Amino acid sequence: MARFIPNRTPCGRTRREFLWQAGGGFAGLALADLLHAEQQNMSPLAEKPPHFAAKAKHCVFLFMNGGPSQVDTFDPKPELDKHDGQPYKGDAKVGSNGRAIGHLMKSPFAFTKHGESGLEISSLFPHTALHADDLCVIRSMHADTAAHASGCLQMNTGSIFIGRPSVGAWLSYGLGTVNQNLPSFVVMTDPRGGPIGSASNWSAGYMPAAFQGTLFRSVGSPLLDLATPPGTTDRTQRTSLDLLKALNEQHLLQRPDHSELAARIESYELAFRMQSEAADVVDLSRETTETKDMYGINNPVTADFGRKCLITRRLIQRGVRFIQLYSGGGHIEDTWDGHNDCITNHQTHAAETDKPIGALITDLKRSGLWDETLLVWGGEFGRTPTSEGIDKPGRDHDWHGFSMWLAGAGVKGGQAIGATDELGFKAVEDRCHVSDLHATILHLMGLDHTRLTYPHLGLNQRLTGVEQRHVVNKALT
Amino acid sequence: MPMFETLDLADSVSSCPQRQITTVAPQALTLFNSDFTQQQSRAFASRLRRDAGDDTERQISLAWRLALCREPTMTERIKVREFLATESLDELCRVVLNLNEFVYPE
Repeated sequence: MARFIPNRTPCGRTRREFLWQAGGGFAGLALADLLHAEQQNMSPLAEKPPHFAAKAKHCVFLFMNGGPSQVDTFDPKPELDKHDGQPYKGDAKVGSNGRAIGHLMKSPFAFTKHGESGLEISSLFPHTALHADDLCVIRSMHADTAAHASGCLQMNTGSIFIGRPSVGAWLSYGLGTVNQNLPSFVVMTDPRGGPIGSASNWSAGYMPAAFQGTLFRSVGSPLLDLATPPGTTDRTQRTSLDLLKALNEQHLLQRPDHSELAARIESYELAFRMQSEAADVVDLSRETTETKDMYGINNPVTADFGRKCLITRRLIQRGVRFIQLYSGGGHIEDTWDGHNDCITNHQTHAAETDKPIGALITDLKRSGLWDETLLVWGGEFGRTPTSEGIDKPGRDHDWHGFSMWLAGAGVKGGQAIGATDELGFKAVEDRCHVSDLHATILHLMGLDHTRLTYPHLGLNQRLTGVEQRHVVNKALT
Repeated sequence: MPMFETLDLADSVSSCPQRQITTVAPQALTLFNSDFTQQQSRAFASRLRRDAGDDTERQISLAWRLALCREPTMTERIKVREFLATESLDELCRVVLNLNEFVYPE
């Protein structure tokens, strides 16, 4: 059997090693040494100072996958009520993918004023509405695409194309993380499935792999195989990891240009530390019944999102930088994508998420984390004020105007910024592009979106791209 | 399936022009702690015992030849010898199956 094995070690080294040593020479040796030193002393996720004093240390992105309807949530439109059932005659391009265009359809959900600010919120979110004075609703969001895949990519990475780093990766790159025993960027998807494009939405793109999001499973253990195998002692586990690390590091020395290999070595170290820390994060047994009830963990409707929100609070307490939660997964009605029946759809998804989100805000406030945490709520786009087809209560995609909200550290709450036209199709006042939102998130986290750059393809790339983008100053305290 | 899941199984509801490449700690957990890895390590170790006998040096050589298509270097041999003084051959096989050199084709 041994005779089938080719001899790959002429003159005592592999072909690759020979070429490296012959071609790289002294420079290569020096580089290998530098990289080795760097790797020993500094994890790519070591904490880094922000550009200026940060308002927020953590960011939670509550991603309403599928696109919630603005006129049914945070953007009341009395004119739409008046013209209910009439054909739309305006000039906004309505609908996506040649889907049928119906008539104007008013929201079945009543809007009421909440808090001292009187911020108007629909009846879909009674729990979130209790924190109206903390919410800064941006009613003038707009995106560049009508499709979910590119829309999710744009909301997460600033680009409608695959392969760019996500917001969480930019924050990990720019700021590192305080807790080296947990990932800096955690993603929790919906049990019905991930967003379209799955991992490309939390990718590190062209950056080193260490900055990408780590997916926590929503059911059972957050991570597969978190526990050391039965019968293996902790000491054996550590000894084995030490040998693995030593052998891998020798292998890397000959291939210092491969960030993947270095990231993989780091991933084993992080995995070992996570074995204790991650198991503890998701162990909710020491949370009080009152807390669990507040998040709705004992109710099947809210149990999943409630658990995720409570785990989020625990992740924030442990210093995790960026956490993204998805509501809705898979396709159409399993997400906020209410093409067939937007009313029932939004009732379902709002009921699953509203109470947990309200609880998260309350809990962050009482545990002293509110002043250092930024919350972002929204989906990849909004939905049309017209129905999709006549006499069908669905709504199609609307990327010309939609609502999102910010709350928490550095955010001026109790206000709605910007406006859509009188029927709610298109952002017309204080228009806020997805990249303007990104610039604002970075700003609140202490980073200047024009200075946070990463060299790739001869360009100092930014999350916000090459066009002029602006921080939404009205949203800031 | 768990192995696929942690290694970014493509989403089955949409087209996938390009598979994702990620390197995250959960993959390390699966490749290091999973039942599948345990089972394969045990099988690998029994093969080494069967084909190389009880001689540690021969076991190490065969493990390297089978998994990495080369002989171990002297440094590797020393490290592994030290390791086997306290740990089992099954355990060594678990380490070998997790080496970057084994996992990444060149």
